[in-house]
Amino acid sequence: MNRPEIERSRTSRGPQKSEPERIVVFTVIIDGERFGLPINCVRTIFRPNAITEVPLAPARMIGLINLRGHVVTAICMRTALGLPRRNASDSLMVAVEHDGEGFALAVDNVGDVAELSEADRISMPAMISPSRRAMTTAVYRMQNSIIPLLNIEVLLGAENQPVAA
Amino acid sequence: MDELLNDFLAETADHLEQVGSQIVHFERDPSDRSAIANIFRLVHTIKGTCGFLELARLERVAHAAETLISQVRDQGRAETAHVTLILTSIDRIRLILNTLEANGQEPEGDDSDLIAALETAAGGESSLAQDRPETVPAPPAVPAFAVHERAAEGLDDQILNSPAALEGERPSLQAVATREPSSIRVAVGTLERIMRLVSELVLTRNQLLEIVRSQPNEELTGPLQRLSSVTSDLQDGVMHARMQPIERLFGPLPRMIRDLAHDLGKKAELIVDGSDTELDRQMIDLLRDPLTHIIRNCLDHGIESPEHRVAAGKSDNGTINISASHEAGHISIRIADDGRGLDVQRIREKALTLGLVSEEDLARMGNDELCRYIFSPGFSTAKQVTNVSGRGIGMDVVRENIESIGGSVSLSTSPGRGTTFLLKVPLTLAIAPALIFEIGGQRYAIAQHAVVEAVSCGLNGQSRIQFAQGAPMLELRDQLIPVADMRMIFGLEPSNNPNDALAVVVRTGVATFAMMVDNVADVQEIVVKPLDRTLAHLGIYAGSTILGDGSVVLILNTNGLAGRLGLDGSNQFRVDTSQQDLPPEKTATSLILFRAGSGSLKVLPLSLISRIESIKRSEISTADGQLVVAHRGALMPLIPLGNVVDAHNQLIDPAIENWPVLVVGVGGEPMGLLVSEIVDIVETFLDIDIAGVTSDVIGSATIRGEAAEVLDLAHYMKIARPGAFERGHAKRFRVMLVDDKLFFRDLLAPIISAAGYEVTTIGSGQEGLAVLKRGVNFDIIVTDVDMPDMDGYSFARALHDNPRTRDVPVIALDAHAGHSVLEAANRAGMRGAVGKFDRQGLLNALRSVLEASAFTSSALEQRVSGEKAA
Repeated sequence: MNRPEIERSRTSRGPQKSEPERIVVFTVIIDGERFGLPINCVRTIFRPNAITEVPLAPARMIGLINLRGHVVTAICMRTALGLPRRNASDSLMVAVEHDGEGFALAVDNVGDVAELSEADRISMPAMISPSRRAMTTAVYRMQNSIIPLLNIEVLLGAENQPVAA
Repeated sequence: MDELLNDFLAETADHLEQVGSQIVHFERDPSDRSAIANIFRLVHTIKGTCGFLELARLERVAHAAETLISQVRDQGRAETAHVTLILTSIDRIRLILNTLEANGQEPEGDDSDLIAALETAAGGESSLAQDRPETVPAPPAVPAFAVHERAAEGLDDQILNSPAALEGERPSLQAVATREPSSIRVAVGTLERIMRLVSELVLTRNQLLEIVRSQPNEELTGPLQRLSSVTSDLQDGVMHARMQPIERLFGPLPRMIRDLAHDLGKKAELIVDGSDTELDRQMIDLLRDPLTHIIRNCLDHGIESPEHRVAAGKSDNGTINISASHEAGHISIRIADDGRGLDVQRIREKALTLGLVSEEDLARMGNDELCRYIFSPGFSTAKQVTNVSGRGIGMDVVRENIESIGGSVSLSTSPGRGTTFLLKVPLTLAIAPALIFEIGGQRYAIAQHAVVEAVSCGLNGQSRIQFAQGAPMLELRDQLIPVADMRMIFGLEPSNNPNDALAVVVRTGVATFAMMVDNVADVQEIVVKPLDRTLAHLGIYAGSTILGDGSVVLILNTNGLAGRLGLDGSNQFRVDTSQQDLPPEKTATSLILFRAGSGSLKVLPLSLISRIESIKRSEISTADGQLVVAHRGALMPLIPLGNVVDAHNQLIDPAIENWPVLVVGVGGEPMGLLVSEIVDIVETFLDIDIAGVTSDVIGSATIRGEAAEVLDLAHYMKIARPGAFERGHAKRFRVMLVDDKLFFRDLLAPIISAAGYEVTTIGSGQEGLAVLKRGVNFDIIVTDVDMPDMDGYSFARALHDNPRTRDVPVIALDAHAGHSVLEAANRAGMRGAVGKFDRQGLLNALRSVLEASAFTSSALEQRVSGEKAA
């Protein structure tokens, strides 16, 4: 498995700050599809062992995980994207930090760190479902694939999330 | 420079808080020079440092205020106008400081009116003010020196406040060097970080202990024990470092009360007690608002106007008493006023109007119970809205605030005499003892302060679940408590083992309810970690924690659960407050009922009596003015109870040939209690209704509808066997209770002692062995099996290996005394195993094991029933 730190050093050319139109994303694979996560919020990748279930939590919440002494909330990306859920122990966890809180995103697999150019940004395809659309910041074309950039804020934000009955 | 400014701001903020109270104190008692001297020193320090930090506006205000203060100080007397002026200046200084803190710059503004007023007040003494400019240039030198010293020596700026500095003299370096710094200032963030690290250390330590427990390793045991104790000490140390005296909370109150009383045209003074009580700094901040609100209420609604007070025959000066004290793991804050008390009639009407309660319920309520309604939302009985209180928000917010930090608030009122609020809050929020239990194979925790008791409620349990219109209710003694079936709430399958269900009875501020759980696992000190927003939003979780084995456990929020159950509705507001301050354990006791002469029914706990003998009248003789009987080759003193004998020690009732005698004291030195008739043996709750007035009666209780006197056996033993007490035998069975968890010790000890045994609680096996080694004897030992360092089985084996303690029976105690525990207990030579929550089982085990050696309770009971039948 490629560590994001290593990947980043290999793929990034020159200082990113001076080229605002280029963004670096960490790619994950969910149900065969590639998605991008903003690299600056990704902390580490791990395989979960014990997950504490949280009864009555929204469906996308798998539970709580002890990540080196920190309690992080695990979120099933498949459920969030409206896909059938998969066994959590088969998933890889991407630890992300948002607004000072730790989360773990369960994904099928992790990919490379990729560099996206604003020039490759395409308009959001119309047939994407509204719920997915809300979760996507933008869609980019890279070589011969399409990478939606996920909106961490919406994904993790507590508001306007349907609470499972 | 920035750092200097920060230090300055932090220090002055602390000092400012104190000064407000000092001024009021001075106003009341002008002879107290130290108060005004303190105020002077503060303002002087501010002024001096201002020059150094180039804060011109602050300096001018401080200077003008200082002039007046010094004048007041010299005159030793403060006029109200002057006090108000000084307070205004302090407020202005605070305002400037606040902006300074926010922006790093002094705010724009003009203080010339205030300065002019201050100068006018200083008036004729203006020469003083004119003298000042000469000394103004001097102060910059002083702080510069002080700051330098602090950097070098870690000295706080006490030096600025020293009299020498005030005189403008530089203290000699030697004097500085010899003064030990008693405290240093540490940023809160640093402390928090250390606290977090210590929490991690505690968790890691627990994990290590867990590993070593499952894979014993001789080499590791020693260092690990050391690590363990050092970690605990460190935890204590850091906790202590976060503690601050509650003075910080009480400090601003006198000023507040003065201002408020002034606004309301009332007279009130504050008496503070226990302001050195320490609690976590976080708690202090969280308590500020609720406390302020309660005091505002006391002043506004409680304390009457001076005319009313005089008319009511009270002093025109109202008093508000605030006291704080430590009480077993929590802090009690009592706020009492001597005002008119709550208007119970108005509360009654309001509660009815708002539909909070039915008239029938209302009629049954006591005053204190009724008054709890003032904590419900939208409940204000103030006839007119004032800007002080009475906007219909308030007491419910107070209750919510206090409960959100795991505390409780209660009140009692007495018309015309005043109202007392009692706040109980935990010492800290960071580390809390919690009860850990299982629901559907997963563990959960609940703050222990909310737990009243745990009862088994399965088919074999002591309590039953009943259904009221489909809603489960727990029948606990004479109460019906709503039940939260946690499996159902969590959407899990019903338990396939309903017979073993446990109900954890919890009390929140609004309701008492029982949570049905699968079993109770443990009590642990947990480090509370906050949840992310989404989960916190659910309302039923208060946080999470990591246990010793590394697993994450959710902490349930009892208030949120009550809300989910719909128990926060107003009509469920009534809480059974009768048990509030009683120990939560109430248990049936075996009692022997008898008569002694013509008086009322007499009662003694059966466990105190070792045998009942029947003694022929002819066998009773008198020796040395005392009735005695030859008993097993020795003389046993007989104590006639009640009026079975006349003034000449002659048995009164000629009809009785065989006198029943209750023999007390196993082995050792027995004595007999001479009674006229054994009535029965019953198992019932022993509630003393009326405390006794004579030394031989503990009190009166109602047993089977009849009033009965509960006798104090100790009184008779002192008469008959005065030496027995000192020699330490011929008394009750002594039980050693060993459990590493304070919770269980506190839970079980009262149960055991209520059943008539004498209990000594011990925290570990080693300690138990040490106590036994010192020669203290016990009749039986009850030990937890799951303890760190030395588990219950090893403890039992150690006891068995020592010839002196070999014969002391040992009973194992486990959260769930299953078959495996019983087997292990038998292998370790123990005499039985009982569950920690099975109180009846514990008492039965105690009785059967203890009495097996000397006599059997059943034989005794059979005999009594036999005699009754005969």
